[in-house]
Amino acid sequence: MIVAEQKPLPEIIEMVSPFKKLLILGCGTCVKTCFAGGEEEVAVLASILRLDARHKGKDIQITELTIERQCENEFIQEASEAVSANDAVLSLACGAGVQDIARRFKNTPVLPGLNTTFVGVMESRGLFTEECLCCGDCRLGMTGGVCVLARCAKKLSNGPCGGSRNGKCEVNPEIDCAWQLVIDRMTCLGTLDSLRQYCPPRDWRSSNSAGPRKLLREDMVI
Amino acid sequence: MSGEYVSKLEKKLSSGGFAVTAELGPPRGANENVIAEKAKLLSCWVDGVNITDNQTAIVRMSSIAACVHVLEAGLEPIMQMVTRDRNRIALQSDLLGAYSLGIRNILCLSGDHHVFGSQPDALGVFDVDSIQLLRIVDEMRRSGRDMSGYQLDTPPRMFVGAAANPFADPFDYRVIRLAKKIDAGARFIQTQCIYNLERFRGWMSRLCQEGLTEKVYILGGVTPLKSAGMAKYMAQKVAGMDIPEAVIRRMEGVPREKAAREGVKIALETIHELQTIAGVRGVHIMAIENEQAVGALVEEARLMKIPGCLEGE
Amino acid sequence: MQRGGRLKMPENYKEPIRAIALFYCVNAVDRQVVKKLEGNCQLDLRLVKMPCSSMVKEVFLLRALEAGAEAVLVLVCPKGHCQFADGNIRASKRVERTGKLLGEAGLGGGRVSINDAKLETEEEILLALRQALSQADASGIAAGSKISNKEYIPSSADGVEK
Repeated sequence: MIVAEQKPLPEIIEMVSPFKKLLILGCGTCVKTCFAGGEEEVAVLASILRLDARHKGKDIQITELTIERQCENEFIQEASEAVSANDAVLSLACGAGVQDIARRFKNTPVLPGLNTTFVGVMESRGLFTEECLCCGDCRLGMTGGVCVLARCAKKLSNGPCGGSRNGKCEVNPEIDCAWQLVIDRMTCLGTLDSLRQYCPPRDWRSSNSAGPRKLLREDMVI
Repeated sequence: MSGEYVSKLEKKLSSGGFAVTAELGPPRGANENVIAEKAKLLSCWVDGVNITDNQTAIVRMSSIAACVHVLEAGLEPIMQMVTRDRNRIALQSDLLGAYSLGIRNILCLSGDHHVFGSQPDALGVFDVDSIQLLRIVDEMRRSGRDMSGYQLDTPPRMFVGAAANPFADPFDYRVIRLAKKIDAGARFIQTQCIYNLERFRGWMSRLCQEGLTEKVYILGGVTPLKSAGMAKYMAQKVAGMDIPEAVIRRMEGVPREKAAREGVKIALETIHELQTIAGVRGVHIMAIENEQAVGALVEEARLMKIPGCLEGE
Repeated sequence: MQRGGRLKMPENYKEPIRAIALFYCVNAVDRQVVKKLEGNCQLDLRLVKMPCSSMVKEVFLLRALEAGAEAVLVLVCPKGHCQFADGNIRASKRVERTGKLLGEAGLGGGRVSINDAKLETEEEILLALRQALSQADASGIAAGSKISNKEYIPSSADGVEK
C-alpha cells in the first residue's frame, strides 16, 4: 500500500488559515489502512481545526467527507457537491489522490494534509516499512524476494557493503540489512550460489529518471 | 599478469615485492600546501598513497585534484572513487580526466553513507555500485570502450583495486563478494583495519582455498591506535570494525602517555604477522591526520625505504 | 487599592465553575460513586461511561473539548487488569496521541489525561479531577480557559449518560 503520515499540525493550520469553509476529504483505501487519512483521521483533524479556530476567535466551517479512493474519478465524483460548497479542500490522500482531486476541480484550491512517505507494508500493527521504489524493472526473483533497491541504503546490486552489523544496516540499526535478508533467504532456499553472478548496472529508463511514466492499456480503453 | 605496468605500484606487486600503501585525506579547503606537507611525510616510505574521495561524506578537495598535487610532490597516488556522489556519466568523465592528469591507480568504493557526513540532507546517487564501477574501469582498460560501447580515443588504463572487509557480516558471504570483485576486474585489494588476526587468518585461508590469492594482491589494513578511547570508539561506533577485547584491554593497560606507543607496537606486531600469512602481498596503513606515524612505522617494521630518498625534501 | 496592599476580590466574586468531562470504564470505578459526584462537586462535570476504556477515541476526547470542557479525564483499569485484554493500554495510547496533537496545535497538550489508579471514594475521584484541571492549566494555556464557548454537552457517541 501507499504509506503516508499526517503533516505537522502547525503546517496544516497555516495552510488552511485563509479559508472559512473547508472540506476535509479523506481517502478510504491505502491511507486509511495506515491510519493517516480515513474517516477517523478526518474527524480528529476537523475537531482540532475547529478548536484551533475557536481558540483564535476565528470562524471556520468544516465539512467532513471520506470517499473510497481519491485516485479514481468514479469515486471523486461523489465529492463534487461538497467540493463546490467549500472554499478549499484539505485532502488526506497520498500525493496521487491530492493531484487527482486538483485535476478534477479546477476552481478550488486543493491542499495536502499528508506527507506521502513510501510504498510499503504494515509489518505489524502500527509498524510500516518501505518495500518498493516503483523502479519499473522488478528483480525480486534474483534476490530472494527482498528488494535491495528499496531496502539497501546504498542501493547496492552486488552484495552487502562492509557496514552491516549483527544483520542491521549501518545507517540505522533499527533497520535490517537488506543483503543479510537476501542471503538468509537464499541460504534457506539453497540458491546462495546464484549471488556469485554479476548484476549489471540498472537501466533507469524504466524508473521516473526518464521522466514521468505513463501506462496505457489499450484493451481497457473504451 | 602482463609485463607492461601502468604504475609503480603494479610493478612492485607484480614483481613479488611487499607493497606499502598509506592514506592521505584531502583538506576541507582549497589549500594545496596541506597536501604537499602530508606528502613530504610519506614520500620515502610508501609505494602509493590513497587519496580519499570525500571520506566520511564530508566535503573536501576533490580526490582527482588532490591526486595531481600528490603527483607533483613525487608520490604515486591511488585515486579513491566512490559511487555515492556521481552518476555513471560523471564517474566515466572523471576517469578520463584523471587518466589525462597522470593518475594510474584507482580504488573503487561505494563510499561512506552521506547520513554520517556533514551534509546528511544530500541526495545519495548510487547509480552504480562499487562492483559495477570496477567493471566500468576494467572494461575501459581491456576494450578501450566506455559503458555505451563507444571506442575511446586514448582509453584510461588503470591499475584497479577494491576494498574488502573480512570482518563484516555476513561472514560466509564475504568470500563470494571478494570473488565478485575479482571477476569485475579488481587486481589489488585493501582490507579493513585488522585487529582480529585470527579471524583475518580464517578469511585468508578461505581465499587461498578458493584460489583467489592467485588472482589478486591482498594488502592488509593497519591503523595504529592512539588511545584506549579510540579503540573503544572504533569498536563500538565504526561499522564493520572488529577490535577484540584483548586489544582494548592492552591499550587500557598502559599509562595514557604511553598509549600511542602501545598502539604502534600492536601495529608492528600486526605487520609482522601479516608478512607471514600466505597470500598477503602488502600492507595498507591508514593513519589519517597522523601521517608522520606512517614513516616511523614503516621504518621500524623495516618494510621499505625508497632508495636515495631524503626525508622531508 | 494601596500600594503594596493585597489585591482584593470584589465582594460578589465567585470562583468560576470549571468544566471537565470524565470518561470512565465501569470496571475501573464504581458507577454509583461517580454518579454521586455529579452536581455535587462544584465542577461542571459531565460523565461518559464506557463498558471498556478501549472505547475511548481521540475524536471523542476532542469533541468534549469542543463542547466546552476545559479538560478531559479518562479513568481506566490498572495495568494488567483490563477485562478485555488491553483496553486500558489502547486508551492510554489514544489519550497520549490526543495530547500530542493538542500540544502541537498550541491548544494545551495537558488538557487530556488518564488515570489508572484504583480510585474508590468520591474524594479520590474528585482529587483526580482537580489534578486533571491543574495539568490542563499547566500545559501553557491560560488557566480556566475553555477552548470552546459552545454550550457544554459532551458529545461522545454512545456512552453519554442522560
